[in-house]
Amino acid sequence: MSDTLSTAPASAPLVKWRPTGLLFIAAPILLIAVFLFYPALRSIWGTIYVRQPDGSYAFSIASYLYFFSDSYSLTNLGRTFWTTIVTMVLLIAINLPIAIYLRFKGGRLAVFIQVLALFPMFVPGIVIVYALIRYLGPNGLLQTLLEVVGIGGFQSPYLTPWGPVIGMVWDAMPFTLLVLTAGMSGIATSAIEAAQDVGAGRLRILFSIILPQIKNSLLVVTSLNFLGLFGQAFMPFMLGPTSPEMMGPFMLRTFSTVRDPLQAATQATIVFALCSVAGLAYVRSIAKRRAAELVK
Amino acid sequence: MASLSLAGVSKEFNKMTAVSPLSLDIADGELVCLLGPSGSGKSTLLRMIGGFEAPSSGQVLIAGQDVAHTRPDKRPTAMVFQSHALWTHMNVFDNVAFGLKLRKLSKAAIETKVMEALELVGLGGYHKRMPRQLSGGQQQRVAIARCLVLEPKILLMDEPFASLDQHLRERLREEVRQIQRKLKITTLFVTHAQDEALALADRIVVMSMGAIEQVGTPDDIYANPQTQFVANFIGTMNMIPGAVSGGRIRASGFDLDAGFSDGPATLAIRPEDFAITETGTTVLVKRVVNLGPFLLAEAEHADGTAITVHLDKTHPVREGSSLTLTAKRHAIYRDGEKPYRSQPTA
Repeated sequence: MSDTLSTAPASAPLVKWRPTGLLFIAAPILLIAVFLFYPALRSIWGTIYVRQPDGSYAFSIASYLYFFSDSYSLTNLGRTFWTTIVTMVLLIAINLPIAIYLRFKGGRLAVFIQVLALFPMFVPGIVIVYALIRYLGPNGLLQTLLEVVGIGGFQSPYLTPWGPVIGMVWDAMPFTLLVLTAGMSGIATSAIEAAQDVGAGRLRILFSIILPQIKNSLLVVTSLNFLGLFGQAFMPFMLGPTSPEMMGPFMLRTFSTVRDPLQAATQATIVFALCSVAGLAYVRSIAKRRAAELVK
Repeated sequence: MASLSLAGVSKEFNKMTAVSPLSLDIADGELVCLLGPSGSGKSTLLRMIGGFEAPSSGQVLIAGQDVAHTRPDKRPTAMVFQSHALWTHMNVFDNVAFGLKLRKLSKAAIETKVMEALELVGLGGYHKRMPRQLSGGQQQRVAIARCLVLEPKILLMDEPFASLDQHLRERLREEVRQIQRKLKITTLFVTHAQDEALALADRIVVMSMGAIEQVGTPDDIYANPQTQFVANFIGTMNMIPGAVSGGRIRASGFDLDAGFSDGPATLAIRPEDFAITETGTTVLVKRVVNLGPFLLAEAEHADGTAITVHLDKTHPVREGSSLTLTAKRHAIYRDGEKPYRSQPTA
């Protein structure tokens, strides 16, 4: 037996390549290509290869020039950036302390906090939206309670830029917490104790030890949240103002109310291009982590 | 360097006693091993000295100052953790320099001290490497350098070599011993490996179930185990149930001087403390293992008692043959606790 092994060339692969693996994934890849990539590419292509008034087709970037010269479209894009960034900042600000607490504290309170934070995951979006409207809306429960205790002048965030922010924070909280908790679990308690031992205080430990070690998780959750929030249509449609509005409801209205599919496709392509940057950051972080694992 | 005294130190977790009140004095520059099985309280004791756990009672005195409730960074101690605890996002230099930067030393001073510490642990030239590019042994050296660079008065080591292979452990413990002697730094070393404790320590503190079983030099602990637990835990010991009557203990054919009151007792003889003689207790050899410098014979007395004997290679012995043994040295325990007699036999 050892003879057989020793005659094998040193560079021979341990596992022989077989096409069975590729065949196994061929069907789902084909489905993705046919039902996702092809329509998406066709739509993008349709924004630059445009039907002319005489019925012929020609290359044109007129719809893009219109978007970037139209102040309303640009205001909507700006509002989308504002809402996305504010939501992402709030998500990290709320979930990072919870993730740190869950990592280093045990007991019933920690379990209760975890359940509370993950609860929105099990509530359908429409229910969340109506719950928020009933609670935060004009003459809602919160306003009523505040008036009962003598606090007047409550300004409801419903149909203001803060409406979608609150809804999307609620909606994205469980995912953010799960990713951050997973990242935190990779930090050894002894690494924190070693930092304490050499004289680091709490803030120093947070900024010099914890945050750099969960950098990947932060990047993943930030990029994936960006992808999810930037193109959101439902929450901004239900809770946000109509003017200016986020790109999601803007696209929806351009397509179905204004009935301008070319402009709607152009808006979608611009959103896609911007989201691709976040997608690239995500892919880079995954690739970097894999490379680091290979070095190990 | 500084002396360390524990006075009535104890620790309870949720009304469960992890460390019973105990006292211990460690001299300046001494290397003491806390030795015991898992759950014996040795790591908890070390963590109380390091400031990572607050004692439920008692005093932790370093150079005469009670630091029992002082933060870890305010104590003149530094801890080497079992899991290396390196900060994986920092290179070797930054790992070692972190504590110095917090002390706001000048850049030049930090560089000099870090390089000296790395040279001391044999890692000169490795300062730019990331922890993942180092072997387990090298990572542990970085952890040691990170402690030494702060010039602590007391070095605490919590099973630092537990995750390393035997060969590397032996090499590193020798290096640690040399560094400790060179710096004359008071060191507490937690381990569950008796060979590590015997090879390293000036004194060994054997712990079991949160209490100190025995404190002594490695030779003393090995030769005169004060409790049956220590006798069993350190090295190999044949424990032969018997009875004392008329000042003699009789157990599985052995008839030895006892010198205390009648009653049941346990005769303890180390495998190397047997002599092959013409008259004595006859046992049947069941298995012979060649351990290099000597042979290990697993034998059985007629009453079924298993007896392990070390034999030098001048006594060829076969499985199935019989041996006639007498004890050169023995100890006797009653109720598993107090030794009633331990004496070398001529």
